[in-house]
Amino acid sequence: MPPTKLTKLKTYHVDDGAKRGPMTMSQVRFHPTERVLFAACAERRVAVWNLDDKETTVKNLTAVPGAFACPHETGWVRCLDVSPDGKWLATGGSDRRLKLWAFAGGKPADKPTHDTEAHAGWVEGLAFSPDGKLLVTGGADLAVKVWNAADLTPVKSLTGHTGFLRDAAWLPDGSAFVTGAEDGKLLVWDAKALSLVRTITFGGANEQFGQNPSLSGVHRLHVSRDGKWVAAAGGKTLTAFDLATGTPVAEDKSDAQVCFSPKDDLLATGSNNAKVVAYDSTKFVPAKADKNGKLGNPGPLPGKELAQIKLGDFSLGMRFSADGKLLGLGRADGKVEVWEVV
Amino acid sequence: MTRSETHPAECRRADHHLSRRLFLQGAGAAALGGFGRLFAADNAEKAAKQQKHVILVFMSGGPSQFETWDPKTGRPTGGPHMNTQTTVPGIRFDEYMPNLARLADRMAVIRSMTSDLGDHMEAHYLAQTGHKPTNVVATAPHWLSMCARQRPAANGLPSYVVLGAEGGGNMAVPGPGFLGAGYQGLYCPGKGQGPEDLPAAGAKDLDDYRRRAALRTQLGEGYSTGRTSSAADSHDAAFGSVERLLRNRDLFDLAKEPPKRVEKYGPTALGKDCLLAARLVEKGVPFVRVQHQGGLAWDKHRRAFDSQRHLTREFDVATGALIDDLRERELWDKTLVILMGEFGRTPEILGQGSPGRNHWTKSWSLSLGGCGVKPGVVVGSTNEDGTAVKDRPVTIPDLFATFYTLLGIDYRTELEFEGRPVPLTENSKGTPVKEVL
Repeated sequence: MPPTKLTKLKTYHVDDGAKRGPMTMSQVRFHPTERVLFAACAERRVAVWNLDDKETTVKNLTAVPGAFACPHETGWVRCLDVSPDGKWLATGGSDRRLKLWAFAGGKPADKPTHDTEAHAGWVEGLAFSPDGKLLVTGGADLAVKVWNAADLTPVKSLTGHTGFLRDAAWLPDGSAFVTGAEDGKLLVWDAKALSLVRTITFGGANEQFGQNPSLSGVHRLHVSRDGKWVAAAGGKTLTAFDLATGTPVAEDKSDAQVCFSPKDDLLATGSNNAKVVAYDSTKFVPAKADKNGKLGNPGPLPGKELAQIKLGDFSLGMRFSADGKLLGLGRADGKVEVWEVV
Repeated sequence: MTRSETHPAECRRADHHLSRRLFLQGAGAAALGGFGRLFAADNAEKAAKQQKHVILVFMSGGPSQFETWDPKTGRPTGGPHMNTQTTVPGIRFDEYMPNLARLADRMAVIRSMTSDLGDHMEAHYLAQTGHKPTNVVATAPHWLSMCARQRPAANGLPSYVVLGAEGGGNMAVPGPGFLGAGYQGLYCPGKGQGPEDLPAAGAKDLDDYRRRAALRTQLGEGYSTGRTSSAADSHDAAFGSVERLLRNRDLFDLAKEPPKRVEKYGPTALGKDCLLAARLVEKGVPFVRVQHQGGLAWDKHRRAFDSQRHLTREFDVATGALIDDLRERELWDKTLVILMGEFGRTPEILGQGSPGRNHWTKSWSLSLGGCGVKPGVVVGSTNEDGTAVKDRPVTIPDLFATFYTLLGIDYRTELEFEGRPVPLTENSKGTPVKEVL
């Protein structure tokens, strides 16, 4: 039976007592085999929770308390990923470093197994390959880098983006990976040849100025479970593309965030308000070119909206668990909500 | 209008144009050769060479000291930005300021600014007039209007030009105040564009304009006869500037600049305006205010640290090129370049929603250079987390006392408005920051 609704389970929160503003979650990941939740936030460390811990109430806040782990010396952790076998956690920071942490006994090790200066700028976007052998990172130096996941030795540095990198994701079969940047481009890379296969224009690239800067270009991207679609979110738009052709097939006015369920045809998107849609790819309406060859807009994202979840302004961090049964939603106020997909 | 006419450092009317030495040099040349026109041209050129200039690049919104000149990388207040070593040993700037880091040994930085107005518009007013808006006895002029009065341009050029607007409020770019419209900065809309709505180019259009101006003057004289009206004087002054502009139309024409020079400033609006500011100074305009974007762009309450990278990077490219350009063209020694906003930002990363910093007046930074500013100097410091000035606090009156001193204007000068004394800086407070002089 395909899922029909989402139910909120618990709220998770982290606080080490330091005087500061909200921790502002920016990325959320579930451990693939254990009941552990991770989040990158406005901190040089990663927030970690045991999903089964009980909620406590402190100063009118009822939430599961967490802990900090995987410290970088300076800056903030900007991205993280867990290896498919669950044995490793990788973190990338604004300190330009990529760190690999062993995960055992329900928590990451105190010290990294490997630690390297990965980019000449903030490390953004990090993804283990499905077989766990390779890691891809993007950087504010505009480079895409491929690493041996076992020891962080460099495999290849790729160029092609012209704006700060933001996110990376693999196809489930490991044949290719996709990177997205503030230049408004999605670049599809062949995983064997480590060469560019296709450039997809998402758009929305602009300089992030003013008092209320939007997240310009591609902010987040993800690939569907069948490897057919890649969705990108940023600025004010979500667009899904056919990975084989690069053609836009659906769009939505949600923004900033996107992830596919690994088990169902579910897509979560949105920032201030997250929504979860059971999409129907048979009803995608691809964009068509006009008589001058200019590509029009695709049809709206088809399917049934299962949930509309109000998170609050500027909320970021969104990911399904490996079994597709949980959805983690980060919030700007430093909390992560976990919802059950029923 | 000048109250302390006899003050030794106060300039007299003649000082605005020619020094006594220059005058005698010219008189000697005339006596020897009798080339009156050469004499005039020669001295106009020399007078222009005496002129000091200011390019004020204003970072409206309140630039974060942490993400510019006073990073605290690795501290709880440091945020995600890294820092980079400058050409001054031991001094580091934000990682997105490589050009200004390279030029740190040419500029001075004040890391111990402290002020007390945390509202954007009040702080804009204070940081650009030297007066708090609530304390003025007369509407205070922008300090560059004041400079335009004290040190007007030679050769009929505009004395003060404003490039770009800040739309964040009506006190963002203070006007000429009680000095009157004659000292209003000539407004250009930004993006490297010259003044708007000028009459069309060409001899016929200039003649048409002069004919209309003559009629206006004739009618105006009828009104002014027997009246003392500062408003009419201001009106006349404003119209008087238009013909000068028509004669100097190509001042603002960036198309006349070689592409290589244009390229160095970057493709941004700020780049174009910094180039135009350099061009104006090179042509003899004394005072230029450059607005870095409208909309209080440096006011980073939210999504600060990601978007700050873009803002800082374009600022660094444009102002770095400006400094390089002024030095290459030997304008550096007589041009005061100031990079500042109205206040700083909170050490605590608070934000409204996503991370950012709020307004902070207690300890903030700015940078200045050229025009005799001692290069490579860092004035004052903040504590480990940047929560307070550790040593050598510098106030806004101190800053203005420094600016005026660098320009050879006595900061203790008092002007007069309706019989009341109006000092250049509020209550004549302030002491020049001797470390940069």
